[in-house]
Amino acid sequence: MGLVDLDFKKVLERYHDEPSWLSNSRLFSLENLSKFELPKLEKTTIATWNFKDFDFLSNKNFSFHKEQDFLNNKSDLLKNDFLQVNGRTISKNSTFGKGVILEDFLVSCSNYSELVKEYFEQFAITNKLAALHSSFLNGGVFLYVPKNVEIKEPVSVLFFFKGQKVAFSPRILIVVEENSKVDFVCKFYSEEENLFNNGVVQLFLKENARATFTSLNMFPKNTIDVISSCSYLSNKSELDFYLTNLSQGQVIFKNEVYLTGDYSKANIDALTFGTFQHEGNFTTAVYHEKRNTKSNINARAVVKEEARTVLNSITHIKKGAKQSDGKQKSKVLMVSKQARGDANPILLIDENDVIAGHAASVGKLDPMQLFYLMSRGLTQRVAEKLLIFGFIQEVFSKIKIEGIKSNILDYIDKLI
Amino acid sequence: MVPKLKIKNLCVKVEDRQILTGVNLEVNGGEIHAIMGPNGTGKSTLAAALMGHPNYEVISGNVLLDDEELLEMSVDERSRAGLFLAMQYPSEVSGVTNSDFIRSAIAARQQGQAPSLFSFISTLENTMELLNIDKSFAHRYLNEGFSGGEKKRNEILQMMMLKPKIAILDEIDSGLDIDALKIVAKSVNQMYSKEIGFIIITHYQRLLNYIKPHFVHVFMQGKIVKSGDYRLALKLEEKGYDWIKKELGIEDETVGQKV
Repeated sequence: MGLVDLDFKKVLERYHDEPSWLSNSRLFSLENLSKFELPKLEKTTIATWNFKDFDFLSNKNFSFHKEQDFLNNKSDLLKNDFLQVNGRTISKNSTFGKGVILEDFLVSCSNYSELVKEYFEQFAITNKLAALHSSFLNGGVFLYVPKNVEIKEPVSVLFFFKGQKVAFSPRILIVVEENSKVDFVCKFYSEEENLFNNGVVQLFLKENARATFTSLNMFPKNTIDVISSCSYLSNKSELDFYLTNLSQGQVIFKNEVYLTGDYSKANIDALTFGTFQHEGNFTTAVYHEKRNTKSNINARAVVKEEARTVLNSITHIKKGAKQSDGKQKSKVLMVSKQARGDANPILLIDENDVIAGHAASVGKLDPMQLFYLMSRGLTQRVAEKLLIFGFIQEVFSKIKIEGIKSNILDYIDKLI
Repeated sequence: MVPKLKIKNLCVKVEDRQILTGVNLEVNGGEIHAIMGPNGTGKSTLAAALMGHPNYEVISGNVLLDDEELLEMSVDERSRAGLFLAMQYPSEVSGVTNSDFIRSAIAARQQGQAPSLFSFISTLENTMELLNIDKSFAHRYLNEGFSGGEKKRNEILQMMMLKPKIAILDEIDSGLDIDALKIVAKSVNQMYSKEIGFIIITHYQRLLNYIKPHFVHVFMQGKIVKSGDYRLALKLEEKGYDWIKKELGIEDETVGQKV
């Protein structure tokens, strides 16, 4: 049985004007959708998640005759360099110059076909969610930073979703060429329930490139939020990945970083906060493939109410990756009695001459700390809040983008 | 109004061991009470139970703070009502800076309204200077990596910032060198007024050289067995506790009999 009721013709008609490599990818994914299995996740069973009852083709029909009203009410959304609502690009900043491209992903597939194709095809379709994404790819952004270009101000992109029972499959492709530098901010946001976001992020850092990738997902309860991210780092390139996921529904975040060049370096700081019936599975995996590569994973999860969160951290130092250094730390804080959390540290070392270390913990709010804070007059709510903010501080304080920081604090404040 | 704390026949247990066996004490603003006694006689239990420590259960008795029943209040309500406990072993809280914490605590006393940053910081810095606390402490995480003496001074800093009506100092002198002890004593003396009453729990008479108590109480078997004025502390310093045990016919002064 297929995951969705398909009408191949409908899909291909919808996207008939695309380059053939893209339609071929859709076709391949569609044809094999039923053969692929759902991804197997450590300690989270997603077989019971309802991926079915969504309209995967609705977005282009979405009525935007009230677009102006919508934007008038949410004018601050336009402060982003790039705004996409339900896969439709509303505004974009095209004043970067120096050959920088910031463009709607599907437009880029046509306009920069050869450039995009090369990277697009490196995303492997290995499971049902990836196949779903590739079949119904309907939004996203392409950022291209040519050689020797430094973009000083952060480039911020917002994907805003609205509607009922609709599914979205955005692709975010970022290519930073040699000696270039960019700070990228990527937000996924919806205020409405009954949505399915199935996004893919691809990040390519060429020799000596520097990038920060700050992502923030905020979906309410009764949503599915899936992001699969793959980053490839060439020689001497450096990536700082700040991932914050505050989605309250069912969440899969798979973040893979491949250190494919000597002296490449990745820092990954992950922060999640789940409440209600949130079910989250967050995996960060770093693959050290070359010499003198360095990685550091630092993950924090807070679980409240009946939320369940699993943090998987994988550091894999492969044969030949001599003098590499891979560290990871993951911590889960359970704020309510029913909340459950898991931290799974995994170190795979195939090389001798390396440094590796891991730490993991799962704990509850400390009653002695609570007593201490309350003995100074703080209400239980404020005391808990301080302890929660204290718990996430080590990761939170590394986020450099002030706007994102206040978004995160406000949202967590609301959830507490 | 001069604050008033009235403890009547307070009995407290921890798990199944009774620790306090009927404490009676009245503390008014402008009074300094010293509670002395050997180890294991229940002194710190009195402090913790008054503050509402979750591990201590009140079996009977009552405590009035300005005619309000303290024991019916939650921990934070007791604090906002004017009770302060300088703890023997304050918690370390990572990720929360000292100044954010103290500012939140002041805000909690003003219907959540935080004091203006400017006036708060200048008061905080002046108080820290008085306590000989390095300025960097304000931005360090609450008690994290503080030495024993630094933690004690941080407790006093909080007391001075929060201006309680009744302040209990639980072994504030243990682990302090003589200079730190003098600083703590100076701060208490500076705070001293009709607006605040102190209960100072200590093993040693040493602190009382610098803070002169109006009343001295001796704790044994989970209650006050003898009270006097300042001269009682001097006598204890000179003669120890044995003469009291003899006088009262006490063989084992400690607490913790199963109930």
